[in-house]
Amino acid sequence: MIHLDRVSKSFKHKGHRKYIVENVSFSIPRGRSLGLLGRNGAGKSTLLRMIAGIAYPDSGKVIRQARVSWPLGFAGSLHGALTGEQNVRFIARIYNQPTEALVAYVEEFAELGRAFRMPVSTYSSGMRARLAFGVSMSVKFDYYLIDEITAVGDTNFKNKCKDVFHNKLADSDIIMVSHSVKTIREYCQAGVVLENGKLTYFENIEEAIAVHENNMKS
Amino acid sequence: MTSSTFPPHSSVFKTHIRVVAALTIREMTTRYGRKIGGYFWAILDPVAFIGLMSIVFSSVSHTPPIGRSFMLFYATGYLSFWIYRTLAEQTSTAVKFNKSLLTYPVVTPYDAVLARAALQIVTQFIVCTIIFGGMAFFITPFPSIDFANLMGATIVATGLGFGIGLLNTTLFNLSGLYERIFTIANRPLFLISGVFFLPDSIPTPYRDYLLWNPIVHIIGWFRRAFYPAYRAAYVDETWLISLAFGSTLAGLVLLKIFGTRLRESE
Repeated sequence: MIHLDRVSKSFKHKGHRKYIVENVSFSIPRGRSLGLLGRNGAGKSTLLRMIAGIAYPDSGKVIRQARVSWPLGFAGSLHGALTGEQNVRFIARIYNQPTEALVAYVEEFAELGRAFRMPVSTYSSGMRARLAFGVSMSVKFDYYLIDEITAVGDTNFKNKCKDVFHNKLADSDIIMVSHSVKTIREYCQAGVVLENGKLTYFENIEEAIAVHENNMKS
Repeated sequence: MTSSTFPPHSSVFKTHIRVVAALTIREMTTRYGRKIGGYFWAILDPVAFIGLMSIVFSSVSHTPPIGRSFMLFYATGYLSFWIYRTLAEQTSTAVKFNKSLLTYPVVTPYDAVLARAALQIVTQFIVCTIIFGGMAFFITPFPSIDFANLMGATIVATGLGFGIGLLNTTLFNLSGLYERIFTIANRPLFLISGVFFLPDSIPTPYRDYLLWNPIVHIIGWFRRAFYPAYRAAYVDETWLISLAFGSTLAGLVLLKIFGTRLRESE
């Protein structure tokens, strides 16, 4: 379980303070994948980074009693000077995974061909995303944090990801930020709407989407 | 402003060791792996420099300020200077060059700094061993080395380099202006640290000004280990040790306070 305990986080924008979350307490339940909805600049990505533990609340705390992934997305966790393979080895080492098995799995899964042994700085954004997804899904987490997977590539690869999430990782949950309502629907059962520093939880993703779309109109 | 991770406590230390090891391997592959010859260049760089200086200065002057070997004089001066400066530089840029890897919650700025410093210290040890080992073949008779002084000077040079690097990790991030001033102010450091001369030969009051530079003391201490007759009475050991400890401690405190900011800044 992940628990936010009286968490506040703000930043200064054009002279006045803007809250991403203000004194928010919230438990993210297990067993349901969660879509994070909110308007542009509401702080969805920052919230996701706080859940991951690479951004920090101004006050309050985030308690993680589960294995939580790093936030996956085009922000790029891969090191450009390393090859795809070296990046995979690095991740295997820091997450204490069998290196060779992980390299073999990701090489096959990410479909990068010879590029797998070339520096990541030469990759297109789609190739980076395929590599990042390949690695993260081969390390077992309870929660997978995903920030915009629209860049992941062709339908074939998207189906492959979905297959892994639905079968191999059936007992893991996803917490996802996406601009695409369609993607959120495909992966998430529950939703959270982030608006004016407040979090509202909806057990049904459709309700969350409806509220979010209503917010966007006003 | 705390956060806990799973699993708690028990394996935190093990995780750090694993992450530092992974980062060290990553540093080796990118720092030395891309160029032809790889690690060889890290060693060739100071060797070539000392060789060049020895040739240039032995052609304009008959004897070095102490002893008879130009090579030994410049090697002792340059290597102690190089240990400090390279370690300070390497440590201060560790977080910046591993920025993307800080996206992994298990990787902390401490790990990045430690990995880089550890690799640099090992490299320095190898370089010094090779250079002095090699010179023992060329220079006869090679002086007997006073290991107590050699260890003392090396530890202080390493400590100060690490401390200044650690401090600058945060300070460079806080102020771009400070970074520029530090870089410019340090440019002449090589010329005023006593690599080419002995402070004993500088007239007062300039000599006293020069002694405000801790590197002058480090080089003096280092040379003491190779020249039994050279006392280097100006070396203030207590001050050097305090500087090394003080800068490391201050660097750790700053990293503790601003570590979150380092990670969050794009």
